[in-house]
Amino acid sequence: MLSNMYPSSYFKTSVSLSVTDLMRYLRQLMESDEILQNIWVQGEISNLARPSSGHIYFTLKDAGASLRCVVWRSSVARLKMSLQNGLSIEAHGNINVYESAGQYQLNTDTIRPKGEGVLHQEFMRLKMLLEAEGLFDNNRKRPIPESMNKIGIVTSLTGAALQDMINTIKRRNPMLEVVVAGTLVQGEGAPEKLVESLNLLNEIIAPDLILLARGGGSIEDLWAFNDERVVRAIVASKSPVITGIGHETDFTLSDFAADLRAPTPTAAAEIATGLTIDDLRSQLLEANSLLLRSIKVIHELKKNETRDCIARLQYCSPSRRIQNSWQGLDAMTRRMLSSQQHRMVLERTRLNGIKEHLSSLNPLDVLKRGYSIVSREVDGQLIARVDQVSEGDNLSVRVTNGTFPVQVSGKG
Amino acid sequence: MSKKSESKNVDELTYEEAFTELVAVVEALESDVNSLDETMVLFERGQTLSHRCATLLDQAELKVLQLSGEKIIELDVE
Repeated sequence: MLSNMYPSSYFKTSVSLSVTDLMRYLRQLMESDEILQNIWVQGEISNLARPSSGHIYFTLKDAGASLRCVVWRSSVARLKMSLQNGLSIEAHGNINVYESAGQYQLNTDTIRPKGEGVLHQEFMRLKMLLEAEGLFDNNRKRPIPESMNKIGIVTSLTGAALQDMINTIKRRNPMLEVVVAGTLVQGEGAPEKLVESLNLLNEIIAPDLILLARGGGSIEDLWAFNDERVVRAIVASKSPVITGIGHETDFTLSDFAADLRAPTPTAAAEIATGLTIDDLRSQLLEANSLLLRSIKVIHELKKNETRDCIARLQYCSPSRRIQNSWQGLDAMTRRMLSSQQHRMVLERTRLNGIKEHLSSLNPLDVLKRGYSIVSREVDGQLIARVDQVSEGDNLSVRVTNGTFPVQVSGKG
Repeated sequence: MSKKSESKNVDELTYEEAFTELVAVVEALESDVNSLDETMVLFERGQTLSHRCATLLDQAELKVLQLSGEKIIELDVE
């Protein structure tokens, strides 16, 4: 194969090769080797560098040797884990030669944590550490507000999770305002972006609630949510945070740090809209009926007050007084009359008594017994003694039924 | 109820502001320390507020914005 490109005579001459030629030869040698073109290498990351070009450079080393590695920008976005110095990894790619520096390097396209269970161990280590610090304490957690106006969402702008959440919120409470802070949710740079989005939302929007979400994926896919920096950003958030990361069975450290963990992004959106537009409608209906009832009560009250007043007014009116006076007058009249009658009866009785007494004294009654009354005709003087008359005197004798004249004929 | 919200045009109130004031109006009416004229004014204000709330509920359309860097823009997905 080589002989096709470089005739064997080329190498057998004593003429020296240019450095470029040698490097090109070495490159072709390496690039034609199947093993070197598809290889996994394990070691620890050191000298990690992320220049602004977007490519990532690091050295993979173990106790005995080191290997230069590069992740081109085109592959950076596809990395499923975040790189840090000291991290033991397995890197996949191909060996090639960087001619101008005379160096060979691993063109890395895939990186995974070294060894089985490493991720889990790292998860448990960090969990214990952060737990001991009190970051997951329940008494540290902020209450989820019952009603709110603004919800912040931190998630990928391209994922289905965002659309699911927006649809859920739109259906349940379109009165709300949603502000999305797009972020990477996996791979290299994701933790930094997550922290940045959380902080920006807090600083610029200060929403009533933040939903931190990502659709389902492998444990590596969700790894950014186990990053210590993300956990601390959640704890530091001024707005309460609800996480909805992966599926129901997935637990990340972000979930432990959050004020509330929802099993999925959609569930997080449902919790955020605990107060739905239907709830608002019934609240309004209730307030409305209270309003109507209170005005009715007030009207009834005022009406009663007025009725009371009218009654009292009528009671005080002069017509009533006049009536009263009439009544008083009538009563007095009655009393007067009756006392008068009484008096009359009394007087009449007395009069009768006197009358009887008087009649017992009536001299005429004496006449009935045969006595008579004699009076001198001339002067009417009653004659009681003999010496009162002289012979020839004309006298008048009164008996019960009349008088008759007599003449004194002589004195005895 | 504050003088300030009373003087504010009902059409400019947010749902929350309008609803909070509506509840305050109901409570003021229930407290029964107002003159009849005052209660009529309160009641009319309550009805306007209630109407404002109902309108806002009927017109509700989810507003979705995006925080791009430090700028707030319309959400741009897909």
